[in-house]
Amino acid sequence: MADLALTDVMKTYGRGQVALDRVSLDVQDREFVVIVGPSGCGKSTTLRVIAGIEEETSGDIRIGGAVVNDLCPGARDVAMVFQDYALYPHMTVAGNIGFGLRRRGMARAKVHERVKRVAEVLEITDLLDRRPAMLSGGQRQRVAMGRAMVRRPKVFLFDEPLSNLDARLRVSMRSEMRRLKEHMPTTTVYVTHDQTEAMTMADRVVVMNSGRIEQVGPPMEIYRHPANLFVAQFIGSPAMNLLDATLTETGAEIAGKTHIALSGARDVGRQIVLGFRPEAVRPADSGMPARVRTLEPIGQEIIVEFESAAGTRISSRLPPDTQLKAGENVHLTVDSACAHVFDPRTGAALDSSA
Amino acid sequence: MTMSDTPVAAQKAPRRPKRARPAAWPWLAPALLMLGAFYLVPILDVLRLAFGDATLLRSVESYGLEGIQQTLSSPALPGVLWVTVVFTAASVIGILATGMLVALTVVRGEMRGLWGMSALRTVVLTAWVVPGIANGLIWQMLFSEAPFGALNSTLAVFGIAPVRWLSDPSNAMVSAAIANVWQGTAFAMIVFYAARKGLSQDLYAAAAIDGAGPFARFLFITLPQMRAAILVATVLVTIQTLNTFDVILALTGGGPGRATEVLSLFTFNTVFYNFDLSGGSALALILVLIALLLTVVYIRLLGDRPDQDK
Repeated sequence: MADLALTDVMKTYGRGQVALDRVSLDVQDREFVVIVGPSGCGKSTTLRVIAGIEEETSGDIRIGGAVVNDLCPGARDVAMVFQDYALYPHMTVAGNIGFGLRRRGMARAKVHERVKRVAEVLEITDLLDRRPAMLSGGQRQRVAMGRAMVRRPKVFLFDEPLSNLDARLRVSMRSEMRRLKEHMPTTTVYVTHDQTEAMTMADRVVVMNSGRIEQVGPPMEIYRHPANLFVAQFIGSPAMNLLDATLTETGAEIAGKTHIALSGARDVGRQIVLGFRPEAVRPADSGMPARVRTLEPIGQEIIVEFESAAGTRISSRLPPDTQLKAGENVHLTVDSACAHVFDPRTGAALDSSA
Repeated sequence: MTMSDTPVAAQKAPRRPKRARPAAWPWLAPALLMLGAFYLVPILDVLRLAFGDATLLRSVESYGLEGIQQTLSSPALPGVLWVTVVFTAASVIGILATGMLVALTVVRGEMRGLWGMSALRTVVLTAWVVPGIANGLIWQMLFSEAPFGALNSTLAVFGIAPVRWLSDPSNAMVSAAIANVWQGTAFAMIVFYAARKGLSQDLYAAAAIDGAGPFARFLFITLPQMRAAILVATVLVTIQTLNTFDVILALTGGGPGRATEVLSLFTFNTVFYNFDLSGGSALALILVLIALLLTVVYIRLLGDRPDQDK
């Protein structure tokens, strides 16, 4: 049990390529932090630097208060689950799970007992004599988790552990992970590109983009108050709608016609980007004129994509009984309480949305 | 084959009942012809000669077992076999070990982005393309016991007395093995390099996190994961070493005495110095049998594991 702290961690590759740009992050003891971001944003590199598989160019990494920069991976007392599981193909499941304990000099009998107990928790006892090639994807995933859990490390590191599983298995493994999290609360850094995993499992979410941390916060806070345009667009599916607008005395004006009321102080005439989530927009008798482009019924709701007069796409989540046809002209209204205002140049969220 | 297969084929493909299964032999014929003409016929001819009494100057006049018996009871043969065992074992172990060392060094250097790794690879490969005879001559110059001999004159700089590299029987064996290892390393290196490159880096990361140090990673990841490559390299290097005689011919000529006369060189000498074609053929057969036997042993030792990952 320990907390984890990154301070101004930089990682650059050969030709001045910056993989991590002053990443600072504090993870509390037993906290489950999910790092989410697009491919190449540095989330996996962050994990590998914490594990010690890759060396940071500068900055400090502390585990339980002690700087571990110069410790080799084995001495940091972390455990990692890899995307492709990285199970040792020539060892049995029991050998895989027990390898780390054996390397640390634990007696064979004791290792056997620990492995057995972990296998019971993960329900893989009957697989212990098999080799990884004989296991299904989900079973391999469990073995990889077992290999991490059996050591009772200070920090768990997960590198997209569910991304090689099919959709169904992923949902069940997600709840399984939550169960294990209750069973064995440990400081955890979990990397994924899947925002659903981030939202459902995290105590706190870290959104990364091109080597930098864009925002850190509890899942719903990130969803409700994105700090900038990147986070606004990355979190939420379908993505947040963004329109160019101008601030007026009482709100914002889109494309010179439609007015959306906003509360709070503002610089009149300032160019902004107005953002609102698909659930905050719906057809109405008056408002922004738009045409229905596509309808995607997905059971409990319909995702409708509109096109505004200016040609901007606007997506909306509507109840499943909505009567709309493609090509139909409608008016849209936006729930102004859910509107976000961003600076078009810096992308930062402006305070004017209440 | 076609008789029994036809109904099955018809059942499996009912929509195309008329299309017969294409015969395999036209496709195999080119390879069969080449292998037959250049491998099978000579081997059969060696078999025929071994049971005959041919010399280099006349063909077989009568067949019988005397020739083989005479060859097997040759007083030189036990010594030659022992020399072969020592030379082959030393060469195979040396080639595999240095090949592994160079391959792992190159891979590690490449991962660290060190300069000159492809140059190192190329230098090692150069040794491989040098013909055996030239290799023998090169090492003869290096080992030369004359005052200008490269190694001995270097040793002299440090005040070390000249070593009898080639004229001392046991040293000569070491020298021959060194020359062969120098040339053979490249092949093992290529095999091991390719195999090591194919291993997932995550396995090593996982092992490092599990607390395995560099030696433990080599022992528990590299060696078991490269089992197949090691098997292939061992078999091929062994066969190649058993067949090697050109290096030794140029380096020591089998001497001093018979200290470095391996079976392949003994065979060569029997045929081309003693003109005993049938005796040489019998020896060649022994060589083939030894190679086959060793291959079976290796496969038993290294290959018979059901855990190869698919």
